[in-house]
Amino acid sequence: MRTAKHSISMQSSQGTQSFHGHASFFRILRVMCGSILFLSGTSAHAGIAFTPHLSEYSRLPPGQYTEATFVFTEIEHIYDRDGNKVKLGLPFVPPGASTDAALGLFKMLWVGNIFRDSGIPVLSTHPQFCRMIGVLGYQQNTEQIAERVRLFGKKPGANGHGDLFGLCGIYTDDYLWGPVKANALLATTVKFPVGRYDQDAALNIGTNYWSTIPQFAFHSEIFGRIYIDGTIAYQFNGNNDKPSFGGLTPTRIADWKNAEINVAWKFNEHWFADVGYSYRASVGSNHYDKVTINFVDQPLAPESACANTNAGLQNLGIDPLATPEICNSPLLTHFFLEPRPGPYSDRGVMGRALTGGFYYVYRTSSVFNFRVFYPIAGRGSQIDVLFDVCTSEPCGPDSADNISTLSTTLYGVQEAAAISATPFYEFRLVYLFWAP
Amino acid sequence: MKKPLAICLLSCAFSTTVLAQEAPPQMGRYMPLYPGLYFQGGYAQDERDASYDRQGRDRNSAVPTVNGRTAFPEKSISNVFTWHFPMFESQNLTFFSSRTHLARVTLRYVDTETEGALAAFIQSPPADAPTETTLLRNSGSGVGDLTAEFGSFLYGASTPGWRERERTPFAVVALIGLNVPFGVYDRNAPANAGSNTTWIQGRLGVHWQPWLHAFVDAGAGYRKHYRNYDPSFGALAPAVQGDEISADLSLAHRVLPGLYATAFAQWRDGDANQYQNPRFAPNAPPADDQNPLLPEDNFPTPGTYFDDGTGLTVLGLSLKYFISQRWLAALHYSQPRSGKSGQFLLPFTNREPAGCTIGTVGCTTYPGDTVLVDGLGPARSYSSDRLMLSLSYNFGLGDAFTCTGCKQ
Repeated sequence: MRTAKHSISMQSSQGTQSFHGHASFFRILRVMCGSILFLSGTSAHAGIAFTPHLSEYSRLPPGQYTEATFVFTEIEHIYDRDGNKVKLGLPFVPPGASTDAALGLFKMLWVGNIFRDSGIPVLSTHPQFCRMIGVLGYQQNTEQIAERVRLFGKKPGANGHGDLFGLCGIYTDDYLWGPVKANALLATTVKFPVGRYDQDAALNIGTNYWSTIPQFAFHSEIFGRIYIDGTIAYQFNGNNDKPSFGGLTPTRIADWKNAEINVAWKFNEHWFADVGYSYRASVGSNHYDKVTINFVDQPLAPESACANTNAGLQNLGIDPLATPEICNSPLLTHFFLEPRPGPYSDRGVMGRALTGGFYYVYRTSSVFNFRVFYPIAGRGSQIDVLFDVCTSEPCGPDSADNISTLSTTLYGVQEAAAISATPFYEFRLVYLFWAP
Repeated sequence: MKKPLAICLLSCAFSTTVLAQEAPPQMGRYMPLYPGLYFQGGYAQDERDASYDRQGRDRNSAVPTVNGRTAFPEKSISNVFTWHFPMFESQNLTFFSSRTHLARVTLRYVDTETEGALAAFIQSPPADAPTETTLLRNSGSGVGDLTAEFGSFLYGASTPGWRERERTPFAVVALIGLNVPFGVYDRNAPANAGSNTTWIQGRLGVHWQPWLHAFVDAGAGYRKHYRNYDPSFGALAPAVQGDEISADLSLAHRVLPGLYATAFAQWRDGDANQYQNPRFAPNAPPADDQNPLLPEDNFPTPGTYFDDGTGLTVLGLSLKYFISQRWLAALHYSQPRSGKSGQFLLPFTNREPAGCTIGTVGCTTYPGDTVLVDGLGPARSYSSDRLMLSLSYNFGLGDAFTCTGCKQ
């Protein structure tokens, strides 16, 4: 334990009291604040919804298609703002903590040509398609983290229905160049923020902001054996005026650029295997304007700070960060913490991943697909938040009883900010419900 | 399609899944059906204003340890999609190619709320209650959990020949099921649409047609529950629900052409539920006052607690009317006859001065009173009657796929 390094002056409602404080006391506070927020969230929805599969962008026969995709992951690692892969929650929660997520994506696709007899150039000769994607989800942190977030009056996760994706687009012609057959498409997706969204939750199924995603994609078949699908897309994101988890989801969300490619090999008419590459990165920074995360029970006593700081360390074989001498200091009776709301900016977020899977095509009506999405690099969102420390309320930068200001690094959470470094697994069923 | 088979098709498609709000068992539910897709939509209503206590007594409240009456009225909509299909027919795979199978997905929407004494506690918790009680909410309504099942017919549905089979006098099916906790779950609410936990189950069902127009179905199953990371309402809901065994039996018979009557019974028995570190109780005892000079409070003594398990036996009747070969309307009424809910003894610890951090200088604790508390969520076994209306549609009486069995 560090020894006293400097003196501070502490004002209380009873007057001014000088004493030799411990630098470690502020370290405790800093660590305590930072310790709350190692939370992730599956950066799931748009990314998962648009990762291309075998023949994802091929020109399909007119008709209606249905698809159900189940995604499961147990996130134990996330990326920090320097691109390091860090263990979720350590050292402040015992090993084994994770963010568990299961998503169900239900897709309905229509392919046809409503302009066929209209004579309108381009449209009358090129089929169109529209797709709706509904989401159900389960996203919860394990109990070690649940216990921690309770200190802040927050919930560790949320379940329910997600945002609704709607997209329409148009196919190009089919092109034949020797053994190569290809087509392309143009589409625009709109994400309607109708999903369940709880401002108190560390994880949410809904995002509470609009997105509009114009997209170019292509499909190619070579020698009838190799199938290539690729896309580039730009995701315009709206603002979120009601950030969740104490303002640790961004209020002004950066736009995203996406590029993905998938190459599949056909063994026979039933069996396929594929590998893919996915790249997603924000364009600029996310901005946080409404940070409110704070301890629900205030004022805080030094011993509370110690209890929260030391919790879980013993299980890891780490000595307590704060000793009883500090925790039971008679010189500090209580204090209040108050975060400054912002604005703060992160360094932007990025994720790169490989995918691999196999397919079984059953008759002409069903496709079963299993896939692994394996992150290989990333950068998550972190911001340096200022907390005022006061001996009375209201606490703020102009408070007469403000004794110090701390800067602590907090993780951004949920889809727009957190980048998982843990693989997720996907099981997908495509079914021709009302077969053409 | 022959008429006896056609008549059964719609009625057989409904889920056999036994849930907290149990769906009534359908006639012919373990019968192999003609391959295709079947849909059933159901609306159910349950006042849930009475429950069994741990001794099996029928109590006039959903949470009997809280003074005054509490109810958790619930209205739910279920959508059940069932596919019957042959599999790998042309590939001669052992087991899989020689029989038909089924897959079933159940989606739900649940509207629930808390009424009465517990609602009043949520609205205005006592001043000396923990801070967490100020965050309590009445309920969490919305989409419910998703249940997925897969089954293989061990007997009575051999392939080839499923196209010509007109009647199935006897069949046996093995099913596995999985609950995916997509349902809305608010840990601050005592009643929720979702369970926030996964379970898996295995089930064996038998179908028998002893004489014309009679359908006997019986099944038994075992369900294993996994951990709920964030048990609701101050952890008064189980962190780990006890594993369950269940059984069901139904006898259906034609009353008039197109009209069938069914009598059914359901039974389940659950192991002890585990509760982890409850944080408050609505019926907390007052804190003892050892030192009149210091304010005191109390809190549930942290620890792991167990109840005595849960159970429920239900009897019921159904009437089903075939509007056409594709449409079936049904009305189900079920009445619990006996049961047992989860309750456990929760000791409290007194603390002086109030709110102090335990283990620090000047903060003293000593044992307080012990109270009986109700386990919430899946620990409750309600004794209220239940009504359900359902409407079924058969999408797939024909062979939807002209290319069945061929290569393209």
